[in-house]
Amino acid sequence: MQDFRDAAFHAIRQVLRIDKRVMVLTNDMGAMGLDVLREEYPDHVLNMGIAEQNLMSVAAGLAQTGRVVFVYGISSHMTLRCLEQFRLDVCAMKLPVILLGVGSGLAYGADGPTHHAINDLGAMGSIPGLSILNPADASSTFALVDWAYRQRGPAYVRLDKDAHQPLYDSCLFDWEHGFSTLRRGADLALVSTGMLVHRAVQVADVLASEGIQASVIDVFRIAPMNTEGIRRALQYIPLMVSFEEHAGPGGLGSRMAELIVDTELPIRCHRLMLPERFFLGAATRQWIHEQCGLSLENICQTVRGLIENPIVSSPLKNMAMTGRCEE
Amino acid sequence: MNTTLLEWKAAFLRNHILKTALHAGKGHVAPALSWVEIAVTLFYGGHLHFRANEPRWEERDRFILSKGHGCLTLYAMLADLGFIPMSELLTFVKDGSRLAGHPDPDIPGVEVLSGSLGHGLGIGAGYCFGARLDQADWKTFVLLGDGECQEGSVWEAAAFASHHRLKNLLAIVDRNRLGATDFTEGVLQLEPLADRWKAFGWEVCTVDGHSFEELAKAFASFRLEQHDRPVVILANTTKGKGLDFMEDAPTWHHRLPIGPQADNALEFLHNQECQLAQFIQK
Repeated sequence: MQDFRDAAFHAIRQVLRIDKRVMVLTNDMGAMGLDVLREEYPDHVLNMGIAEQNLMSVAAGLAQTGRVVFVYGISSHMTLRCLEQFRLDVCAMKLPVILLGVGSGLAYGADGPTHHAINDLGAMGSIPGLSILNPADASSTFALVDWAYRQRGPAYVRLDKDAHQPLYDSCLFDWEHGFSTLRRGADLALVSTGMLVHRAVQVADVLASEGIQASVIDVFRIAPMNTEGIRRALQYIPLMVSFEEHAGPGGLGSRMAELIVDTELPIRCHRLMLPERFFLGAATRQWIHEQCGLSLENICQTVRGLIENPIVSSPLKNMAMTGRCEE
Repeated sequence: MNTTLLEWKAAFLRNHILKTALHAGKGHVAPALSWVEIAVTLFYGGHLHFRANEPRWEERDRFILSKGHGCLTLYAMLADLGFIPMSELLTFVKDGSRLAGHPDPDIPGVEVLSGSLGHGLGIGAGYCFGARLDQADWKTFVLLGDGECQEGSVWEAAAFASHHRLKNLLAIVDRNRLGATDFTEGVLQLEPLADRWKAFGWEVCTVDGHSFEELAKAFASFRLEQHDRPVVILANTTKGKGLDFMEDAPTWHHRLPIGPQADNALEFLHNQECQLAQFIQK
């Protein structure tokens, strides 16, 4: 299992071998891959201190001098703390600043809501012209960081903090496509992104053993979404179930619902996501998944219910949170 | 350019700032009037290097109007210098015009989008860091509002620029002592402002922001590069300078005169420009 951050910094090292006009800025955040990079290219790594607003404005200024700037920090801080600087100084100017946010979703689970990135897609997804990438393994992380560098515009790459098993054998996949179909099945499509794609594969395996054939779609590029490609992938499937480690507004399910409406796709649509709450107190990722209907068993149960009974309520609607939650 | 010529340019700008705003029916006139002498000294006094016929000239100095709401001064000046046609001023804030109520880089001569306060100094610091890496000679000038210095991001940028000794960065604070609705000291105290900048490691120079001589001396000193750190010029100015009813009055931040008051103000500024023009012709 390879760490997402190692893969991301390895991709930047490859880029730096041929392009010396690349800078990496961080808000005093460490990573082993960053240490390696710093050792090799000390003049290309700049610790900006814990001052994210200025970091983003400086990144914009550096990009204005003809550089591609990678910005690395914890997702929750690097998105919402300096959202306006990123939106106006970087994105409105269409500058090549690539935000590498570590700790997507609930990766920092027990560290509490200050470190949860479960509303970031809603906020960042509302910025015009921003590419949002959400890799599910190290190979796709490497490839998507490279893709972000090559597209020469603003991008946000969500990096999981935990290492996961490889999903993609190599980097030979056409990453421009924006999504991949990892399993093909005619009964339903499981659509997910990031680390939950692994769970989608597990769900498909469990369901297959019960005679239910599920497609598994990894939407690794949330924006701009390959609308036409995904529409085609879903066009002969009767049911789409999306699940994500993100609250509803602006998340993957929200975008899939928009896609289905906008393309007039005749498909049943069911979304599994996090509730719109702050998860105060200590709560591990796994525990929150179980509470919110996102565990392997929860999802299998929901899908069985949907297949057997077309009118089934979402587990979220009946969810009883036992942890401390702010309403 | 001698002082009379600079005075004439200042009168020209004041006249066109008011004319443009009255034609449009909106605009931040008072915040534009306070930095007229700063603008004239920089752009007409030879302290800022630029080419009007080549706005993206690689070696140009970068000027960032961080207090983007003061853009009427910049627009009038860009028109006079030939960056944009003079007639374009009449399109200010009209549908489809390039000239919005805050400037963006679709306008030749404008480097960055500004209007939300507290962004310009950080962007300018990024420019300077990049220029230093490239061993480029051009410099970056950032004009900040004094009310803008209430933004925390300004001080994040000040700390960064000082830590990295960005001596190619000049900040100018338009210290007109007024924010959007009231005096800065009554809203959120800035003083001792010079000491604050000093404590952040900046070279501080305080000048009369309406004196061409003092401004020119400060800009020339910055160009000499005898300092080893970023420089800030605290320019003491009067908000609404040039129109007596508007000067130092908190209510005029985004308000326009109407009726006879507008007519009189237009006539006054027009006459002032004409008198100086005639004097120069003689």
